[in-house]
Amino acid sequence: MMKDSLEKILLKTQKPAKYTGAESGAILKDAEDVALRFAFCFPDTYEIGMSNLGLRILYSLLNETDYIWCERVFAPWLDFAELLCENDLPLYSLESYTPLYEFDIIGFTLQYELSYTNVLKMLDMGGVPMLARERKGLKNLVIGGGPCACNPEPLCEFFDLFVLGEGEEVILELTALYDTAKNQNYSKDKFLSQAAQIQGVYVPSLYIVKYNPDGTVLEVVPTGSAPAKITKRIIKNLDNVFYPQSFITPYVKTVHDRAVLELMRGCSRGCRFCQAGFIYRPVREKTPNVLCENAVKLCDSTGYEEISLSSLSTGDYKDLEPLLDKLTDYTDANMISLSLPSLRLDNFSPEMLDKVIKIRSGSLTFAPESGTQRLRNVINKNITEESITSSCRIAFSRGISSVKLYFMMCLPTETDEDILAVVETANKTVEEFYNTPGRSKKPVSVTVSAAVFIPKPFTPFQWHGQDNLDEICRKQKLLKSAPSSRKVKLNCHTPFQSRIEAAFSRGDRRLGRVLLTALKLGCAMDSWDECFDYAKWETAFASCGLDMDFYVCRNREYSETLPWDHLDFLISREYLMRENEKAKNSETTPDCRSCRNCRDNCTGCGVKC
Amino acid sequence: MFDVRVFYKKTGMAKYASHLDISRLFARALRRTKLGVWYSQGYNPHIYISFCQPLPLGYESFCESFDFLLLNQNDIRYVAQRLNPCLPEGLWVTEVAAPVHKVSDIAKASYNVKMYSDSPLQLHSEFGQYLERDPLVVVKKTKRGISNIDISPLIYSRNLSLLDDSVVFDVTLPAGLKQNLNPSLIVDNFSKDDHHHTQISHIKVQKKAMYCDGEEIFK
Repeated sequence: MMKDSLEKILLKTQKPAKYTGAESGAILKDAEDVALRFAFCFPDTYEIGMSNLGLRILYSLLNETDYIWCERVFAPWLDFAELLCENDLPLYSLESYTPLYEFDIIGFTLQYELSYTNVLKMLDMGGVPMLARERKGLKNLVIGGGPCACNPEPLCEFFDLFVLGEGEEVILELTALYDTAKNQNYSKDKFLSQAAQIQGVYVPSLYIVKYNPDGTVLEVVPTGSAPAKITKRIIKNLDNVFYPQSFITPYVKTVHDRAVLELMRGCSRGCRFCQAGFIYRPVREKTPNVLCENAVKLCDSTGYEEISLSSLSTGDYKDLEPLLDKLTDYTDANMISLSLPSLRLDNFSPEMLDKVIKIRSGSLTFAPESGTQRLRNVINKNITEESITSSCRIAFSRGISSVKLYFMMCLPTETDEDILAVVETANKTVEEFYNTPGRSKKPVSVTVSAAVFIPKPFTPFQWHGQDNLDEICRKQKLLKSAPSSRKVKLNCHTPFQSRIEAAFSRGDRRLGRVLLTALKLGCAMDSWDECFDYAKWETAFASCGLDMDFYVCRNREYSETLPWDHLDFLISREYLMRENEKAKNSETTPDCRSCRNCRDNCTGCGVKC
Repeated sequence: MFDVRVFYKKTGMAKYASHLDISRLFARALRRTKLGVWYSQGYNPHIYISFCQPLPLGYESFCESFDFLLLNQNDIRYVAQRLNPCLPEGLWVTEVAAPVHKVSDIAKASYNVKMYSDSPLQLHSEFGQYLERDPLVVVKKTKRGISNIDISPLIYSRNLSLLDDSVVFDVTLPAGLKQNLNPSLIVDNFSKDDHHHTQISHIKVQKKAMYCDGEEIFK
């Protein structure tokens, strides 16, 4: 039925193959044969969602479980959302064209704050009541996970539970409990109170948030037998964790359409602005043998012509050299190309650089983050200007002529001098190109990308306010006015999206109302420049009687209860405070893994590794 | 190196995959067969694969084909049996052989067009009258702009039949590098024509066969 209706509208949309499923590798089961139907929802477009490694892992893992059928649901682009709406068709899963409201568990991955309106819109389009309290039974249990679940407070009204940390183990414990609950006709309350006993499961309705008169959080009180602190889950040994032997190969071109190997989880460098650097600790690596096995299985089953090595900082992978040697034997023989994103080149030997450059032709990306050494010390980005220049020099001498430099602006303690130094760094890179013997005949191009700093939970900067809008605009103007070489291209992120991201990343439960209001005003696909409408968000905040700057710009005291204080990501608060104090004095903290044989560098971050 | 021509069906939901999607898909499927396939010898070697004619998005087809090169001629007999398990639902290899014709020999194609309507009887008569026009001028948008062409001499054969919910239009039209006419162009022009009142809710098109000059099937 659904399929017939779809056939009438599919040709009216751009790239209909995004909405048809039936790709190579998609898992089809008989709905009659499974006890639990799980909708894995990615609150953004197909092209973005299908590039997500978490989706690929959990999709395969759940489908390997006999009694579960996991299907995919993505946010339709505006044109198709409208077509569905006009034709009274609900949002559906790609495997079986089943409306969202028929699923037992509806799981969202929360990758970025600007996808929150899409979460609500997908529920609404799927015929699922948005508010958790309006879903009375076990059916349509809405759950969330992913990096934003480390402060899910703005979403608490909509979700039944959140999963904190890595999902491979806890998701199976949770589905097993759900299966029992369904068989034995548990009430939703009974199920939720039992689910709250599973480590890593946060059931927000079991916690009462009390506020101070000034709007800050007074305390978060657990009810019943819910634990006072909810601790995230981690997988101890990555070599033993489930990894898919096959990926779905999409029809349409997606953002990352390739085989992915997960080298490691976590990063120990401790860049003070980087949330991923803290919430994914401890650092754990897979061994080269396991990775090569993964690679062969994935490529054999998908026919992918590219393998990408994924981690937060690939250069820090202990056995990178032996891994690359081993992998290139296989990839060369099978005409597969290797790509290495997230590579910090500062700790590379020239020989290693050579190898990498051979793999990565075209352009190279560096992330100096800020223009001066002082500010780099503040954020603990332990990279020197000399190492950037020397890496560029080697790259240029090997024929690379295009470099991307990533910077962040509006960082704590930033001065105008720091802003101007961004352009100077880019100018120097251009100069370096012309001073390099054996450089390419092509003209050099240096692209500077300047993002606005967004303070995030579980980082040493979680207490900092973001610069106010006027100050961000002034600094961006200053940056653009700085004299730069004609070879330098400058891209600034819009400050408006950064503000909404900042508000929600450290927001509290009251922001749920803002989300609902924004949705009603028509906000959706907010991470897309062409869809984002700041004025609507301003209206939404105002009509809820909430001050955006209270969330975005306010500096918070150490004594304040933060909305996410009842969630435990293993990072000690004292450590974050210490790091924040050191930042004020431009003091750096060395990477605790830089000395592999001793424990002298332990920073006491709280993760017992 | 040995030229190989693969004929395949594209049906069901696979019809919504674009030409580029399909070409990427077959390159990956060929890699999975583990057969010795010729790769281009550039910096980024890729499988040499050449499609004869792009099928419009949304058409089903029983006569699609592409060419590639095998390193070992004996492998030709394994191609279909190894490719088919690597293809998603809706794509199916029907025949694999050394090419007989040149791609430029393709001259016409036959289609089966199903036009859905609330009043098929009226549609049947109106569409029939429309096809009787001489000249039958349609507006065609190309990259070079909009042109008006008389297609009455280009309709090599046609037949209309009536079903409960639709009208079926079987037609043979020019196809190929020199001249190409898609049946949906005729339907679109009919729908935009002022003299008709029946609405076509949607159409389904199947490409049945491709021919060289004369009645010879493209092989």
